[in-house]
Amino acid sequence: MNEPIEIENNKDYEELIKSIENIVSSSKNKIANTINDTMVETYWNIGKYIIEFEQKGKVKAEYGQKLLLRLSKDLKLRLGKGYSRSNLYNMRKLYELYPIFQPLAGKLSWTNLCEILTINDEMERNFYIAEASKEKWSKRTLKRQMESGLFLKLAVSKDKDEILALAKTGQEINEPKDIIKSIYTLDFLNIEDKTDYSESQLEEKIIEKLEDFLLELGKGFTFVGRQYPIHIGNDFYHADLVFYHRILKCFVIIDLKINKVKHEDIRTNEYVYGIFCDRRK
Amino acid sequence: MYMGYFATEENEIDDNPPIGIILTRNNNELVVEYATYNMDTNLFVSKYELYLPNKEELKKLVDKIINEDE
Repeated sequence: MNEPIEIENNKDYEELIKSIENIVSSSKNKIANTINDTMVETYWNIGKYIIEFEQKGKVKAEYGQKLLLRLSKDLKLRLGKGYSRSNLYNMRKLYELYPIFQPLAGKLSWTNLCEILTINDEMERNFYIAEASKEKWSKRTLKRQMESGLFLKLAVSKDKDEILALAKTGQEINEPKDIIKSIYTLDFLNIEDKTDYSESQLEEKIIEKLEDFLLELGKGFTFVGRQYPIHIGNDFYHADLVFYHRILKCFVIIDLKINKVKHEDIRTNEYVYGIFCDRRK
Repeated sequence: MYMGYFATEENEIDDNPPIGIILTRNNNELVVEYATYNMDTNLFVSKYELYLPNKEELKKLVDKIINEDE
């Protein structure tokens, strides 16, 4: 067993390196998550202490603001940065809105939580907590989704029970209608609403901002192509934008229409769809 | 939108039937109704907007749904 092992191009050896890399990066992640969770719980506790202190002394609202200011000064001296008045305000608010910590455990970073605490509506807040933690949103993504009203846009085409479920568990994708929004917000294209533009110009802009467009479409979409060539009989057609949905495992074909949707648009589709459905049988 | 074409020509065996979205500037509600009433396919009509939504308006609509069902 004293013979030197052949290291170059040795598959087992490469695997050894890979497994070590994997375990180190996964434990680094674990540590980061633990630190974050502990931090969030600590802040929640600070919020709890502040509220309990206020209740003991029956602190009036205007005094509450002064308390946070004073506390911020004293804590910064003793504990260093991170205890600004606005941060203390958020800690207080976190406890006020979520007096039980358990549902928040292990979900979000402190910065994302602070962002979500600005939402007044409870359903909406809970939706973003669920979705941001499931999808591991960055702060930028979370801000964008809040700004473009993701929850409201999904909720507006649902019934009451569906809205309650949406708020509780975030967006669940089981069938085609789950990925459809009634409104898509394309403000990032920077097109003036009143200007004249063609469908191909609109498509061009979308391609330029594909990353933003994918975010607006929602989770699970991957880009397949634009002006996708289609050959039916002796005729050539093009599909404007083609995506593939990873969760539903199907193509999603997007057709851009600047003017009113005519019955013909739908009939043509129906017709083409019908032909092929028949052929499949 | 050639959903049928995709179903037969592009789909792999495990793929589900394609979904079509007509993304339109002017959402004509009648047409939407027609589309969803007449077809049992995965074709949807949605509208796009070039500005951020008025969240208060949307919120009112959502609140209405929540309260109506009670």
